[in-house]
Amino acid sequence: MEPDLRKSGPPAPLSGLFRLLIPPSDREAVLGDLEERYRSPIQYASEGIRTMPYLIASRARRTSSIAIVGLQAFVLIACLGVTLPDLPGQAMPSWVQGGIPAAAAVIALVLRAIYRRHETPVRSGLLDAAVAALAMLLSQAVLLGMAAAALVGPGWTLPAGLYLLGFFALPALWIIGAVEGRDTGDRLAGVKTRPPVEALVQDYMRFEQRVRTRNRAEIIALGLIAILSIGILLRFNPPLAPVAWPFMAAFVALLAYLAARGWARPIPAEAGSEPVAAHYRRELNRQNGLRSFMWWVWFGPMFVGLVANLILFGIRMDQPLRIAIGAAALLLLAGLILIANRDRGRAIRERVAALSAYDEIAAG
Amino acid sequence: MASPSLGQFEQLVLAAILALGENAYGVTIHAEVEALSAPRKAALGAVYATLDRLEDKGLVSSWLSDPTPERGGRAKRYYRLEEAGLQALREAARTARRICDAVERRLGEKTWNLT
Repeated sequence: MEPDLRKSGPPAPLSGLFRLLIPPSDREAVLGDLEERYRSPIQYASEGIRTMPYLIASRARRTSSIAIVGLQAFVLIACLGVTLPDLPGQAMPSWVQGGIPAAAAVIALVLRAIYRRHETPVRSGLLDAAVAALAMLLSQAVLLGMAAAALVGPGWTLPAGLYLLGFFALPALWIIGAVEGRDTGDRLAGVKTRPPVEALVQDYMRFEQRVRTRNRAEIIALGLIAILSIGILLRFNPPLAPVAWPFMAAFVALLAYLAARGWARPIPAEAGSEPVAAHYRRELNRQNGLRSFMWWVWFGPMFVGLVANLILFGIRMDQPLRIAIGAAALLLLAGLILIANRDRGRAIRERVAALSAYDEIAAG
Repeated sequence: MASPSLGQFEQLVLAAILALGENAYGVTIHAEVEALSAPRKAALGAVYATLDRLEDKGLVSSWLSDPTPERGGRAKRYYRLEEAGLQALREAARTARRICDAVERRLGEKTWNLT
């Protein structure tokens, strides 16, 4: 029999550090495993440090979808002026000035998804926006500090005007997080169970409540963007104004539609389980269709921006590379929206299939 | 329906869970994987990442036990094979058997003694 070499537990500062670094969903089991294998502080530290990248990478894979991270990146790229043409005499190109805070915000969002605990979707989206804003500001503060210490040259930070444009990213990030963020609280989320019939009404009411909250958040976010955009259009009358005004009109029309019809309709009074299931299915499909359409609306201005800043400007300046990047970005953005809609549609179809079981019960 | 294709390390982890029965959790699975893949070492983190992947594929399921005193009062995450995992492991083992047979036919049974 092997002698028990374990003299004591791991040093508290080390286990405290690992407690901080291990993603919450893995924390309990992994800390226990590391403690069970404890032989010496060096062995413990070495094993913990070597384990961490696997845990973080695996958690990132589970909590972040490529489509959603891609859409968040597009929002940041558009709102931080990464695709803007460079002005004459500009110290650093726009893609560097905007790319650094955009990359910082994307990394912060992925890390937040790894470490976040269970949150309501709307709160989750709000915190996403706050974390992204903080990461962007922090990246600028670091660059300013480096410039003050003469470690980098001038012009690496965002021009002042882009801070206002960057603000537009926040409502979009909020809604992406609120609508598409993955549920990180339950490792068994993929298990398919059929809720008991008596729970169906309760379940629908929770769904109705979630839709109501999300719809309210989306109205606020879209309203905020519309008000800011209209203010900018009236104040500055930019060259894109002829295209922007119809967008604004569409935004306002959509706001009216969301306010009037965006909610999940209540269950018909005194309905039995089968009409409730049918009503639930119809509403799931309707909300999914509405959601799919809304992403095209949200990202519509970005398509226009990519065409104007990359393709049209590339044609005017005879820059084939810029045109090619613009075309690739358009395809990528469309692809990401399609993938996000497909992934959500798949989850909705599973839910609809589970609800169809009520029809079978009724038929049997 | 065909089982999802498995990498070699995934096969090792599934085989370890099968071998351990009701005592399959991080530490024991890692030890069993190292025994199966000897003389190669396996990183503990790689085992966790693979378990996550297998769980996402629906091949294994997991649950947290009650806290145990020898682990600083922390719970263990136990794993068990799902039917799809067992099926995938059977298919992988059949393929491995066919490879062994092909090697033996060409090089003879004594080839396993040459290391």
